[in-house]
Amino acid sequence: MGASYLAVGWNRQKKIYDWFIFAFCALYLTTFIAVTALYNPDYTFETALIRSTATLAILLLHVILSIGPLTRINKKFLPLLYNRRHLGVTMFSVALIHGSFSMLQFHALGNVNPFVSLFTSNTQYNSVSQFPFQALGFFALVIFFLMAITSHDFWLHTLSPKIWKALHMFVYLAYFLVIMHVMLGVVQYETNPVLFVMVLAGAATLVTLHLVAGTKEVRKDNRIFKLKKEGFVYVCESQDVPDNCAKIFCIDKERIALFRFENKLYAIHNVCKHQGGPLGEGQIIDGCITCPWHGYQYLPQNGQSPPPFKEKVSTYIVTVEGSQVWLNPQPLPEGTERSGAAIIIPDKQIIENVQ
Amino acid sequence: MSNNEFYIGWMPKAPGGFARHTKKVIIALLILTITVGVLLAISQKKFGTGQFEFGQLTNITGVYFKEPVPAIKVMSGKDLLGRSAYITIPLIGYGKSGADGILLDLEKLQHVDLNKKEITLKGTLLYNDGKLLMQIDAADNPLVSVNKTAGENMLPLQKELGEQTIQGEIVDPKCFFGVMKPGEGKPHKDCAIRCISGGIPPVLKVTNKEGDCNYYLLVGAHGEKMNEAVKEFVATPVAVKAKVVAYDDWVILYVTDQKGISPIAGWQLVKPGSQAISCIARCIK
Amino acid sequence: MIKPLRKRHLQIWTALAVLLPLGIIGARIATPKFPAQTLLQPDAAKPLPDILKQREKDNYIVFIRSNPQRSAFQLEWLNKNPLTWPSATIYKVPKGSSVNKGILIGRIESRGTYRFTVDAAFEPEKLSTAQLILYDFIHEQIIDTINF
Repeated sequence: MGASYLAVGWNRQKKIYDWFIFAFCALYLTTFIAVTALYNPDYTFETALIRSTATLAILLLHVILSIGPLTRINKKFLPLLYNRRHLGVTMFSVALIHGSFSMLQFHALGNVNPFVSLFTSNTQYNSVSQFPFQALGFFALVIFFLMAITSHDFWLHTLSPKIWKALHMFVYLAYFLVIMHVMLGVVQYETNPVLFVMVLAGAATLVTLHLVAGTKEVRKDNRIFKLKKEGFVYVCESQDVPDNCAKIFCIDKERIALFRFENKLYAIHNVCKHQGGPLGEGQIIDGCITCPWHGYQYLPQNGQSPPPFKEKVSTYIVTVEGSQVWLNPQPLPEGTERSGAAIIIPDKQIIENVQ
Repeated sequence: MSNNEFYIGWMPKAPGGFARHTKKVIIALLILTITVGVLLAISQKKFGTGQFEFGQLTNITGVYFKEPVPAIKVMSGKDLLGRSAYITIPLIGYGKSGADGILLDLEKLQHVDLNKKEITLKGTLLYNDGKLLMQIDAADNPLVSVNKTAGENMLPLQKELGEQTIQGEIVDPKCFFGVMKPGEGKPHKDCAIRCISGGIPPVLKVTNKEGDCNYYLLVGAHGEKMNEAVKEFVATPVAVKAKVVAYDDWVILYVTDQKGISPIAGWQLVKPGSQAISCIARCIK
Repeated sequence: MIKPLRKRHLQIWTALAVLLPLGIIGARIATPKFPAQTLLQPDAAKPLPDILKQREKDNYIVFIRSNPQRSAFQLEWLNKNPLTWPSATIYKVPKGSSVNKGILIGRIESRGTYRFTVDAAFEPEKLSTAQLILYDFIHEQIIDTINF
């Protein structure tokens, strides 16, 4: 969360995260190259480098793509999400080493420009086994490049979250391109099925995680609210909302987070202005609704980030009738202040609490 | 972990439950990283035994023959029965190019026809599985000396083996015999096409049931270069119909005609050579 | 995430659930098989029936063969692994002598079986005073020495 932009807003957990990324990458590259050298005394370092960076980038891509659904299935994975962008930039850097060395090795010192060579050496686009697989890797790398250079919050705000998210969803296309790059490339050469099995297992894991997490979300979105009056919708009983936490309701295609704070109920748009994190899965910390993804904060009373920050989300009107909570799904302009709906605590409960 | 625990990235420490879970995830990732690294490394196809004496120049004296491919024939002597031990070393250029251009330049510069003359060349050797090639680079001043015209005894021994159809894989000999590992197969296909396109003579790699290999040079029916014609058949199983001639220690395949090379099996979405594909290929080019 | 974005994610992964297995398995099925082919080289002579001597090394096995009458002799060289030298020629030399004093037997190339006709000097009794040298004449260095 920032009022101005820094290259990286370092904090302790980001530093720890980045050290782990570095250590894991170094461990993988060392392991791959050392075992290759041990098993293949005739190996060449260029090939070991091309292969180790390729497989590391794919491993990182699988980890990156599994973090999202894992956090939706189990919140304990949130620490992995916090600095996922650094993981993405690392993956791109590793893939870039692979791509650059491959271009040098396979296309440099020829009779045409290496980039022309990339697309014109093999033109068997009509064949499955002979398909020019390197072009697939190139386009995937272009997508990763665009994602890496726009990964900073500056670009998120400049491009708008909608465009930024749309651009970053191209990672799924890139993933497909990478898988086909491997399958139509090195798998056509290797005789040992290990790589094929790993690619298949990786894809199966990612598809399963995304479908499980996705259908779980769909179930939440498909709840039907039958009781309606004067623009308000009955959503729940007041005691259903835990203190300093929220319940999320999807009404008219929008998710609304209903927070309970100091025995009052406040509704705000569920989507964080930063990266679209689910605010309703956050908590109220120091009087601020705090996003579970990156810790962006908003005041429950008006949906505004506390000064000097400038983010604002839409707010909604809530009323409480007896124990029933009614919510108007018509959003108020972003940052609109409205009073919270006081929860009517039954006398019996007050007596019990006092006792 | 208490249900009330909440993780915020910018806080100095993660709550206990999150920290414990993250530690477990790190251990799982550690196991995954090492397992994937080891499994992928040991499952790689064995690297070839090709050698490229990068940075090491060697002088070779022998008789230069321009055809069927530029090569230098080096004698090591004769045995008691009068048989010669010699090695024919095809010549290739720097990078992804053939040696023809460099040799032509040398001939122009020295005002001499090098064909069938005993010469000393300086270059970089690359070799594998009994075949030796030499890279000559204009920057190394490769022509050390030009001696006399070779005697009749040095002329290539030719033995016609008839017309045959031979199955194998077309490779570029520079990469295959030493410069790259692997210098064959799909991952190397683009590079092989680029090398062959640059004038390096194509070679058909043939493998028997035991995994032993032979390597045959490919030329046109009349000994002309067919580098451009073989490009689309590189690194894929092919059948080559050719007149076979044992030419000293190399076998030369004089491919009967343009249709003498055909792919074996493989999924084709559109028939090779169809108008749609040639149009796409032209557009891409 | 907003609902349309969640929906798009699910649509994409539903599509990938179909496309990925199709692509992966299709590509695997399409992997080309390189056919085996009878080789033209080495064009070795037929082996003589009797094995008189045998030496086994990591990369090759060497046999001295003969006919039952001991009137013809053959050196059989079974090359098990690809050579990693520019050239490999076999010389027979008196024990302790250099290649210059040797007799050239022949050259080894790719993997396979090579048979060279040799003279009566390869009778087992006479071989005890000689040795075979595998020599790289390009780099002018001895690769290996074989004693019988």
